[in-house]
Amino acid sequence: MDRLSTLDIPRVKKQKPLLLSELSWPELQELLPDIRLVIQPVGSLEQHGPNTALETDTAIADEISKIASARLWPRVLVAPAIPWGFAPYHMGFPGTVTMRPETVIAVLRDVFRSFQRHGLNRWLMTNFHTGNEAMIGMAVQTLTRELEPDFLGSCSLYSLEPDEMEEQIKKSEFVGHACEVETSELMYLRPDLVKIHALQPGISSGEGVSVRRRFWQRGVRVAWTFDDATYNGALGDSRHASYEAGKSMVEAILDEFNTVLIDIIENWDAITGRSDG
Amino acid sequence: MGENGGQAFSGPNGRPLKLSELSWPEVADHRDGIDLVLIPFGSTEQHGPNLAVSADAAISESLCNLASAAMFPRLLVAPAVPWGVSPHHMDFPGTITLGAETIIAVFDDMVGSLAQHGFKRFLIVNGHGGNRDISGVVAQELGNRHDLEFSGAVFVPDLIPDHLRSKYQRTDRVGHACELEVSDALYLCPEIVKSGALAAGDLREEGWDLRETLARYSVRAAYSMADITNNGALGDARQASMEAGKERMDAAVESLRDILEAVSRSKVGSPNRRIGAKAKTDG
Repeated sequence: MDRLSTLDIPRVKKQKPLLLSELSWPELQELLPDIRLVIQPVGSLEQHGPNTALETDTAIADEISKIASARLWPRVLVAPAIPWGFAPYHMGFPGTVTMRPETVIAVLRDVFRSFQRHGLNRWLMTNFHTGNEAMIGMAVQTLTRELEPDFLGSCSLYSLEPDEMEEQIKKSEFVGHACEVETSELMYLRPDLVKIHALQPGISSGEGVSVRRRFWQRGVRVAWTFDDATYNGALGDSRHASYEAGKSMVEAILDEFNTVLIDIIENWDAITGRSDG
Repeated sequence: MGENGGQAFSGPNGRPLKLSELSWPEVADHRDGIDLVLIPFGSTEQHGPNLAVSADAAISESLCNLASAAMFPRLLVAPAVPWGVSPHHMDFPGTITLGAETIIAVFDDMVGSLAQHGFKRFLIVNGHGGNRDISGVVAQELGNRHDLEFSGAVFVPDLIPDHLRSKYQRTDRVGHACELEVSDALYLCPEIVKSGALAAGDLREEGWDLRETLARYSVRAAYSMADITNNGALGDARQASMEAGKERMDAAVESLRDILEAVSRSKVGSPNRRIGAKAKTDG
């Protein structure tokens, strides 16, 4: 055959996530009318103590985005994850990569502009690293005005964790990084990234933690490094992590996230008075 | 794509050394044995009906993983940069293109971070022809901006000996989603090959006179792939084979070994010293 015919294109199977990286251009072309939203995972390449791999936050944001995409097939397209983010306070531990905020925003600008060229005009960033939150908030505000998309938003998926479930899972006072909660989530999503024979509790350096906690609660933001708070880079106690705990937490996140996605896909245009573009 | 390299090809411990998979204590353990950091540089761009849009990223990353496993533990593979310079593919859906200034910033920040952890030698392994100019600029810039011992960039097809390039070429106009690139993918990352949809390039003859005249003089010109091919492919991917890919990519691994050995034994030292910059203190 010398002409490309639609019949020759293998159909992407259902139940799979819709991943840009896996599609050829004719496959994407065929699906374009059905795609309502593009998810752009924003990751981080940063130390997670001895407990999990550097790409932990990227992997969790990416995997949750993929499962959500599969459940809403073929309406949500997942773009290649940005493999690093803003993590200067983890630079005391080798392997961490941190990008300047303007670099990440420049990447997002160029990527979103490319989507726009193909008629994809609704974008949601997903994130699993607290340090990215201010940066992607800036991206939402500035790039919405620059590019005028039909939708641009961000969702930090840890915000969807039910508080009562976290209370059940946590076995230590300070959690939030390479702890029993995060390690459980990774055991469910990407067990290959859990260093199962090296799990250690966070080794707190003590004095740094309580002062910073007082600052944080009173709205004071200061530059700091993670090695002020913990000698091994972890918080909490990952030895208490379990697949079951991770499964219940991730499924709870996915339920909430699904509601967010439906609101964007089905309700946003009505709320903003836009007709379908 | 990355996992495939790890499973199919084994180093002494059966796996490539991938930064993203390591914990920080594991990075610390391996650091002294690492002679060179490879940074796969890809694109997200159309490859006709033949390959997924991640093709260049998948091929460069899989090649790096293969080399890292073969030379374990001397090559550390950084996360691939999954987008590149692809404005000439934007007429086909799914293509993403980054501005040159964005790409320079990305490599600057990434290499700057890793240099803080004591890594001093970097090689960009680029899988996309459209990235060749920017890769060279980035390699020079990084050598100037950071305290490095080696900063380089190489285009994957340039790692393949000439005789293996002609041996498997079946058509006149190759270089994108053609029998050569699809062969490489069949070996390194077969999951991105659309085996049921392979098609020859549907070339637009009217576009080729200008294209070939410009090529004769190495004229760099803005253009669109849509001017020279209707389906985004060149060559004839139906004539691709895994065996061709294996011979070509195994040779590319040996070329990377050659580069690694030369870089390791070089006494030239920091590129900064040669241009008279002040010696920087380590750290």
